[in-house]
Amino acid sequence: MIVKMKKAVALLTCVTVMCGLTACGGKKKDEGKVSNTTMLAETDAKDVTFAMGDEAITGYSGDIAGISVVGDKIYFSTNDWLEGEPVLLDEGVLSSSSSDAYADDQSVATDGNASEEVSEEGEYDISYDVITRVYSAPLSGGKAEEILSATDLSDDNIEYSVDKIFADKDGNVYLMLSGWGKDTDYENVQSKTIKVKSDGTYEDYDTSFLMQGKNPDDFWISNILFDDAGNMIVLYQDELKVFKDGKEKGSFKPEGEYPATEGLTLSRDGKVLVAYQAESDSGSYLKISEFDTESCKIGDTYSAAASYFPNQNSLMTGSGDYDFYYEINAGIIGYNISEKKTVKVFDFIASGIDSDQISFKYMVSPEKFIAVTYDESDYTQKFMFFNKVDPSSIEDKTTLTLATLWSDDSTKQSVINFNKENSKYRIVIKDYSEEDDPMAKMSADIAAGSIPDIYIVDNGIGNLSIQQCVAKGMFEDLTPYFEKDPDVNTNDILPNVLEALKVDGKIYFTADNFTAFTMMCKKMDPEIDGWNFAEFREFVESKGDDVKAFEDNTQNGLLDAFLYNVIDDYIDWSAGKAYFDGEEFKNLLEFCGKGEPGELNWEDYDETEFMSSLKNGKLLFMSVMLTPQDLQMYKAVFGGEVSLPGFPCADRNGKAISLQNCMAISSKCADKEGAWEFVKQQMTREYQGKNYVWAWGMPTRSDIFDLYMKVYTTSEEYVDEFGNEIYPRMGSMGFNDLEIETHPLTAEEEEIFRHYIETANEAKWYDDNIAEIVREEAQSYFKGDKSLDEVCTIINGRVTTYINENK
Amino acid sequence: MKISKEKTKLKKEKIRLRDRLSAWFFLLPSFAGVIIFFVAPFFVVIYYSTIDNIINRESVGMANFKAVLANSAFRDAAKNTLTFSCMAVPLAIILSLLMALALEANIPMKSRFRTFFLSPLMVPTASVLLIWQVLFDHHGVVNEWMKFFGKNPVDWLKSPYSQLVVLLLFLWKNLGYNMILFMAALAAIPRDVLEVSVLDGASGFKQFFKIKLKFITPTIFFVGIMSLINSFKVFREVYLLAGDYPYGKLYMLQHFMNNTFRSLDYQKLSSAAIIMAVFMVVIIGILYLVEDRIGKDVEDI
Repeated sequence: MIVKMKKAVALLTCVTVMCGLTACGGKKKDEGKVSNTTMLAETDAKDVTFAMGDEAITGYSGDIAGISVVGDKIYFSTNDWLEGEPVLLDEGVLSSSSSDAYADDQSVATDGNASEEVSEEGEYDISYDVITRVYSAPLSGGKAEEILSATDLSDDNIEYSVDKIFADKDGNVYLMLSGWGKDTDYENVQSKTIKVKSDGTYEDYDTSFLMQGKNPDDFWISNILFDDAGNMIVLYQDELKVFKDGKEKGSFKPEGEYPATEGLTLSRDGKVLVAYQAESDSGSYLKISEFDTESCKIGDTYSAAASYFPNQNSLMTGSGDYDFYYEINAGIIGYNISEKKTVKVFDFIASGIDSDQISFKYMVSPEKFIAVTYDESDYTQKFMFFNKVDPSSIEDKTTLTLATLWSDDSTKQSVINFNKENSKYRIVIKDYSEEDDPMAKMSADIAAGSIPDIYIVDNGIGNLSIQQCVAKGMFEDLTPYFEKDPDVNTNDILPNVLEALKVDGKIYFTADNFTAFTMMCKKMDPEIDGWNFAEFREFVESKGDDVKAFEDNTQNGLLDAFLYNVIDDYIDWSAGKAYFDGEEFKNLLEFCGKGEPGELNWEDYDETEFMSSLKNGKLLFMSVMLTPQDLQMYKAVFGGEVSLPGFPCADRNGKAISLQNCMAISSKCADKEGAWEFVKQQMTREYQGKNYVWAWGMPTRSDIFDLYMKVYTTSEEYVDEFGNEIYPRMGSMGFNDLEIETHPLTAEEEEIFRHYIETANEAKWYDDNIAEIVREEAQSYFKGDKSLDEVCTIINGRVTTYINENK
Repeated sequence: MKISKEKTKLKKEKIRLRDRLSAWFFLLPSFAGVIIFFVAPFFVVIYYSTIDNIINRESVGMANFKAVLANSAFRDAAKNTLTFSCMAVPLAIILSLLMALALEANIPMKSRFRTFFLSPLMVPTASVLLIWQVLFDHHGVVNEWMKFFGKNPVDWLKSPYSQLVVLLLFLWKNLGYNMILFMAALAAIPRDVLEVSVLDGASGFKQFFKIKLKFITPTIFFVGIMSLINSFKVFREVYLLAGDYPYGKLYMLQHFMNNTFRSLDYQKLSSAAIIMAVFMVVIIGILYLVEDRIGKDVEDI
């Protein structure tokens, strides 16, 4: 009996424990199931590779203006431009060829009934008649069927252009048109919607019910769907509404201070899906919810592996194994609801496709998508199919991972080019910008042993500073690679950049361009080429009490300006020492303390006063990023010649440069030679030669830097050896309301600029932890709570602890 | 007869085996938990302490221990933690014992005092810290009092007194719990021994040192060990009060470990953790030895 009772008690205990377990993750029924599937499984590059196939849709003309997919049909509108007869103009003065023409100082092309172009010589005016066409075509591809061809959408006063296109299940197409006033310099004056029936006739469609309760100046419609029950589901920028027979049936608004919707589509089995922004402790992320058009409530909810969608068409109806698809920056994701499975089905980089070259994507099946491409050869847009490439047909290559907190266009393009040209290696980008907390996630991955082969170094890696990365041995020393490589050599790099690239005498990363920062002021007499803080202070104080050093003359503004540029000067990482208790820093802090308390109120910023202060010497310095032609502009701003003394620091070398697009090879990379093949390309003459004209900063190679300077000194057009068309830098530059005419640099200007660049050899790395300590402690001094010595001692102690921890 | 004996023996063995199996079955979850969450991480920590860093993972033997012992940040942290513990543990024992003795005596509002001393245990640390910040901020209540009495204000958390502020918080938080333990120990002293001592003319002072102290020795050691462990865990309070890189005197061993974890210096973290663990084991071992020797006479009673 007792044994039986014991068994019963044991069983009861087990059941109780199990009940407790089942309670975990419970939810209220009306909240919907939230599946946290933001983790995107790693996919083999071969499984996500697509290639361009045949032209999907033919038989249409004009530029594609709007697209809508309903069921197995694709509806789209085009603007077809018909060139009219050229009309001779009188002495370059524009004369209208038709009543619809208007003037501007550049060529103008707008949608609508008619537009015109001003000829370059001002001799002829060419008018265009615009035909708005609407087509439908099967999603599986084929010839487009014209539904509408209209030239009379606009009238004498208002020119209409297609803004958006939607279609219902009966084949009716709705064109939302924006109206531009011809007499009001083409301001958006009116909008209207027309309903185009399948027989090609059209009529105005009253959409006033869509605007009820909305501020006419502050709302827009992203998408409209029609379901089988006759509901019209409208996605506004901040909410979703359901209408039936012109009456509002219900709505859904995402939570949060700034609700934002991101997409609307039907799932594979016809359920309405809405994507919207949601907030969590670590920031915003995307949710995709089922929406019941009868109860007008959201149902099951799924998290997307992205924090935003790249465009309004990103959410797509599912096919095959997937209930829906969505596009992210890196490619297209498929989601299977029953298996709660998120799978990348297409990857831009693996496919070697530049995402900027295709403007519309729609997954027809897991193996095929339709997209609009732009053909640069004949300047036309085309609907093209992209088909999944048979994985077995893809050449086996060694895959190397490139980790970055944000992959910009130049990085993506470099990877695509490398993958196309290199037969042995394939680079795959691991872009952490999609993560909730990119820096923390990157650090966590490294800690977990998921170490990439190549890093994009952005002021450090994850939560680690450059010094910490080097100290941990994360980066491969690239010095020997430079020494033995026939294509790149350290002698090719600008000496100052080479100096800045070195950490403890070794090169750990490459950089294809750099920017220079300096303090600029009116011409100094005598000229100062580098100074310490005492000299800087003496200079400022000699100008009188009514003179400000910087526009932001607040205590914190001054401190930030110096911290950002010279904080590294007060730290000796190798010796584990900080010098914030030295006279140099005390001088700096004391100077900042003389600034105004509080924050600068930008609402009080007076542009005119700012400009006149610079000219009359009441405002001494500007902190600027320097480009060659800026010298000319700043001469005008300061009203005379300028000096570039650099930021004040102990060794009088406060000329900072910031290295851009830095790449490092992981010391754990399995194929370092392969990684070097990729990394070195940005240091080659070929690469920098092709990119120096459009790069953000200046090229890091000496020979290309000379070409760069030539661009700014030439007075004649030429094509350089890399095929870049170079035009003399003559035009206009603006600063606030000031506009100046620029000219090729004079020999003197070139000399000043070159001298500055050649002597700027300190790389600017910013350690936020140290800056935070300094900022925090400085407040006690600014408020008068503590003496200068006390504060500097505390700062030095805290920073020393930080440095020593990282030794 | 023999067969039946063997049968019984077999049956008994079967039952024993079944009991043993069922015991293991019930033990398994706890056992697995201990292995996964305590034993395995311990070996992982040992492994990390012997590699150069988590990127290269090359064995460097004892080099990390040498480096950590030579690291001035670690040395400062160890010194601060030790100083704090040396102040906190004796005070935690003495003050809570005095409180327990006071409450043992026949004083009015005894139970209310007990509740009052225990209440800090129920207050969440985060809210306590808010109060401490209000009290010890540069413009806080304490400095206002000081100004009232003509003294210069002190930035308590960024001054040589910073450890005292945290010590005060530590004692406020822990005395109540220690006091309860002492009260229980004092109540467990055999009454007859105390009565005999009174008949023998022992003074209260003599009674305390000659009898009570000996009887509560195990509790004193227990309280001491618990206070020592808690003093090492004061990081939470200091972190919430002063952040990752506090004023020098407040930089504790757990700051060093927490910060090295964030900067992925697992080898430093692990070495520091092992050094600290060894130190704790030695201290606690010594305490046990002392307790063993002192407590012997009590066991004989």
